[in-house]
Amino acid sequence: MSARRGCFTLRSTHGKTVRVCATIANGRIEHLTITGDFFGEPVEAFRKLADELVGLGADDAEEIRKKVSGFLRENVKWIEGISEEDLGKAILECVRRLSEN
Amino acid sequence: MSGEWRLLEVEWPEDPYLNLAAEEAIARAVGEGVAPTTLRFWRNANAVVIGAFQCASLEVRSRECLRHGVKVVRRFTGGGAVYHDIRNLNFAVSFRKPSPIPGDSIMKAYEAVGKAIVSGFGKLGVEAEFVPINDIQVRGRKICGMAGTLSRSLLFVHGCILVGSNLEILSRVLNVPKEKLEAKGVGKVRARVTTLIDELGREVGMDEVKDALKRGFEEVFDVEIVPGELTEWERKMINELYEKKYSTIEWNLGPCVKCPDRERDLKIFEKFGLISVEEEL
Repeated sequence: MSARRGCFTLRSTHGKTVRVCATIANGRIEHLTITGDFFGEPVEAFRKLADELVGLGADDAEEIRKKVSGFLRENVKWIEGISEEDLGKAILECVRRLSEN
Repeated sequence: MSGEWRLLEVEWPEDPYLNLAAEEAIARAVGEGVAPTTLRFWRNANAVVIGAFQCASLEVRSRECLRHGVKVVRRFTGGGAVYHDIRNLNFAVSFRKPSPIPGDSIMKAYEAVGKAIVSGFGKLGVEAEFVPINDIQVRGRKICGMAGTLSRSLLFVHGCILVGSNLEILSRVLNVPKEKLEAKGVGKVRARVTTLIDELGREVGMDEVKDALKRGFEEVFDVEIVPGELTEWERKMINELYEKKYSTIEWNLGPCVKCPDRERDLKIFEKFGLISVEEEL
């Protein structure tokens, strides 16, 4: 099964943008990047979150949602311009669209 | 008068990597309590500065950057990509916490610093307004954007002001997402921005702009801002951050360090002499 790559951009009602790019191969997240013009600390945490999602089943929305909210709660001190929900939504939407036949 | 701030006018316009290393070193010095509250003015000659959470390949048009010799550097604060040329003025304010900003809030810091910038523009004869979250606009067009960060002991805000910047180059090198332009109600970057010179209808020197801004900060924060120098601590930190962070490919790739598209970013960074500090990405 060939890999599918693509990005999903979400403009938050909090004023900023989050863009998630992913590669889905064999039904799993092979690579994921979280980018955007939002603000937050620590900077490295958002890259670590992306790494944490690698290997998860692309159709396992509940597992992805749990992983994202748990990670943010434990590792991110503050986030502005987008909400935690926006970030979760952008990740799920990117993965969902790439998983569609 | 509620105190004295240091004014720094240290810049390396041809080396945006060194400029960004200095930006973080000065902020750290203030946060650590080894330097006083500081206002810095500085410029880059020809660079795109991307936000901490951005990837160069998504935010800039690589071919245009290479054609126009535009260097790309990643900063340590969030926010969006901005184009800097020598007619663009950057400012940075570093506060040690507790700061004069209510609750040490980053959002309130944008507002207070924005108020000082608006006051400075007023002295030049330009009527501007702060537009949340982090913009200053004149007649609905952006003239200044800000970014910032907050840590255990530091509250930091910096921004760039379009004094007489080349908006044609700006619109060619920045790749602004259509979702962002649509949210701002414009189709192109060029239609969304303006410069101080365009608004004034006359030439304005950098010294005149800096003096007006300095007085704006003095009024809004009720302080005296006096010229100062970098400390030895800051000079050492600048060199360290330059060598280990800002001049490295790893830092500038940011979240795209493992991206399948990173080859496009590497071309930009390698062209301007950045090197990888790791054998393999």
